[in-house]
Amino acid sequence: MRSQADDPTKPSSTSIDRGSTAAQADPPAPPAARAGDILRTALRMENIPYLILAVLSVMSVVSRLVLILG
Amino acid sequence: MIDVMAWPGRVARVVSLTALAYWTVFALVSPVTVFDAHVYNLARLAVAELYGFFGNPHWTTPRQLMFPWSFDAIHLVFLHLGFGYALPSFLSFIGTLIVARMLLADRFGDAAGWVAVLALLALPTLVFQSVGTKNDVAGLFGVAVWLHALLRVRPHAHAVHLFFCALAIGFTAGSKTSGLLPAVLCTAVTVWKLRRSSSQLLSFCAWLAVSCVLLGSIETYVESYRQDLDPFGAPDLVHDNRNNDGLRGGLANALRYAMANVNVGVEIWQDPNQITPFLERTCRRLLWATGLEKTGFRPGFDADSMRFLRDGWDARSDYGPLGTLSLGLAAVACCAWRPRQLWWQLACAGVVTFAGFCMSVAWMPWNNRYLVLPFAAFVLATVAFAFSRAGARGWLQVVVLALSVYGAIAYPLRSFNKQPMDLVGAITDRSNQELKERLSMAPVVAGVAAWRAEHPTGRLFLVTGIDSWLLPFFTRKDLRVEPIGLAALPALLAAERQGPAALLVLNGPELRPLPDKVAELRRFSPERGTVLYDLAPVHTARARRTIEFGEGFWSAETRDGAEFRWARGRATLHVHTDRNENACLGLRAFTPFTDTPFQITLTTGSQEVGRVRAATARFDEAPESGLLVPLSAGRNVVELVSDGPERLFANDPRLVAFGLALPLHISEAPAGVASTGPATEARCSSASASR
Repeated sequence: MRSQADDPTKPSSTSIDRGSTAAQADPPAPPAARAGDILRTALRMENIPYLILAVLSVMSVVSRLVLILG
Repeated sequence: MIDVMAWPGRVARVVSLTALAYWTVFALVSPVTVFDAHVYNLARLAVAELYGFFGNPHWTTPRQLMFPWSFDAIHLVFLHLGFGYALPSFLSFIGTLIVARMLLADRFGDAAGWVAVLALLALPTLVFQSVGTKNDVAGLFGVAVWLHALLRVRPHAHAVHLFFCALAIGFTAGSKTSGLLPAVLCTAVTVWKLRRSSSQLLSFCAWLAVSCVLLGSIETYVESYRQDLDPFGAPDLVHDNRNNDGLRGGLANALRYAMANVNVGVEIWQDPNQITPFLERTCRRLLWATGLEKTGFRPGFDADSMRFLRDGWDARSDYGPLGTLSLGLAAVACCAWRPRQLWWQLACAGVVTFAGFCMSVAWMPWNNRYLVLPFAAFVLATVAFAFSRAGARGWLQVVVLALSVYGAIAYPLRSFNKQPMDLVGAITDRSNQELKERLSMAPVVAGVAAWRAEHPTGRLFLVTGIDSWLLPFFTRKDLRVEPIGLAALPALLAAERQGPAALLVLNGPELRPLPDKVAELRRFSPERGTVLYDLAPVHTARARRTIEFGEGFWSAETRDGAEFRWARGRATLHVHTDRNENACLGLRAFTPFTDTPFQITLTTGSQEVGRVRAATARFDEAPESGLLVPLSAGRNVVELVSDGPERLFANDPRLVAFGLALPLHISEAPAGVASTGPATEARCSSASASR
């Protein structure tokens, strides 16, 4: 019998998914706490590739705008 | 429950973290070392910063405009910081490692995750690219993030995964031209996965459109079209770079890349390497046997000149013995039908992208770096296969681990510029480390630095050939050069100057004849066609010119009140002037023995400036010929070569070919005479006659 671990079509749930579920259940947090939550979420291992891609993308867009418009 | 990692995992973790610590330091301190970055990848950032992007006439090579630059542009801030040039590639690599580790660890346990990390660290080309400035790892990273996100996209999952799916595709497409293929494949797979959810599909398409606009390097396509009427750039270069032989070319390339990546692990210790020439010969025989020997090559390469370089350079390495094993296993794995197995999916993905590159890109010896994506997939497929049934393939786990440890340690130690001593050199001898791939640039940089030290406020212009190393003049803040396109050179040379100015022609055209107000300062060798010119030499109000007789002339004689000199078949005149100019040289040549006419050819440098006819033996009747001679400030050597034979006079031991009546004349060229040739010869002659 094939285990779930062998099936790439069924990945484990992510912190972002869990975070969104928790956010729906909890009352709105103050802005500072929300910023802290976002930072903690971003720095989780599974989100670091996203974080790197986001940083590189922003750097690319800004650099090209500087070179094109500057 | 205590998480007891299997021993392969512990070994892999220790070796991986040690290697990553080494590469982190390397990425932080290493200067820009690779050819492509110096010529166009990063050099174009400096050119664009000076002259803008759209309508810029000063690109020094078409490649600065025709290739997507979204990833290269990230390096702009590091060019200003002066360190950390490799961080964008290294961060991309780290992101890829995290994706690989999670992909394997989620399914087969932590040990598989760490072995996957170590396996990627054992691929020499991948690692060398990761601590360099080329954009090949960016494409791999984009695909890795896309996969990471796609596996998390489910009907009610957070929309962020869909967003990063689209962002990763745009990032891949904008990183380099060859990233378009995986970007299209990723888009197709995503659309197929979302086909039953129209809302998610619409969201993805919207994000993808935004991503492609922001990261797809649209501007390079637009500007290339404006300049070359082809969005992919100069049509000749595009034609040269792609495989123009269809399926046959693709098959030939696949055979070449497969053979070039057969690595048994001992080659790096052999001197001379005996295995690589054997592989080249075998590949040639296979190509000849299949009739594919002339297909798939980039113009300039053929089966006879085909070389598998594999000498440890960034762009000339392979994927080590683990890459060889994985390539073979992937080829076999694809023949099976296991669509739900991760190893099968990865192997097939690798084969598809491998085939895609072989079909689309013409073969060159340094193209192996294009294959980082398929080889990463092959290696991860191997790790997945080894760990997919715990214990059942323990022997394969040991083999993979052993090859990974060997590859991660041995290849950097035997690399061209990634050894520990190179790490030290990146700190203590940074300039030479930067130029290690092209040491002939070192005297050029030093010469420019010397000029700049003497003229801190002067202007220093730079004209380059299409393969010139431009970047060193920008990474060193004390050099401050202004690159200009070749088309702008005539205007620069004609412009009036105030204050010191110089021009470095780097692998460019020889300035012959030297224009007025330009003096040659220094010629650099062995860099071809590289000269530093002074654009504002100090002149006296009136030119001073003198002529001296050099080798090949006999002493002056007087007969019947007229003075002359006999010359051998090859003789030289030394013409001195205090400025760069075209001057008219007046000569009266005569034959020594009979009236049989012949010609004397005059050359300066390697340039022929004209011919003088000697048609009479009477030196007092020889007509004067005026030739326009390009002169540089200082001493110029004018060589005279006779068509006539050298002979001996009776009772005279001297060999003689022709005679010149004295005096010779050197004078300012008539206005409007700007080049040598028959027309100017006539004008110089008329000027001489009227003098």
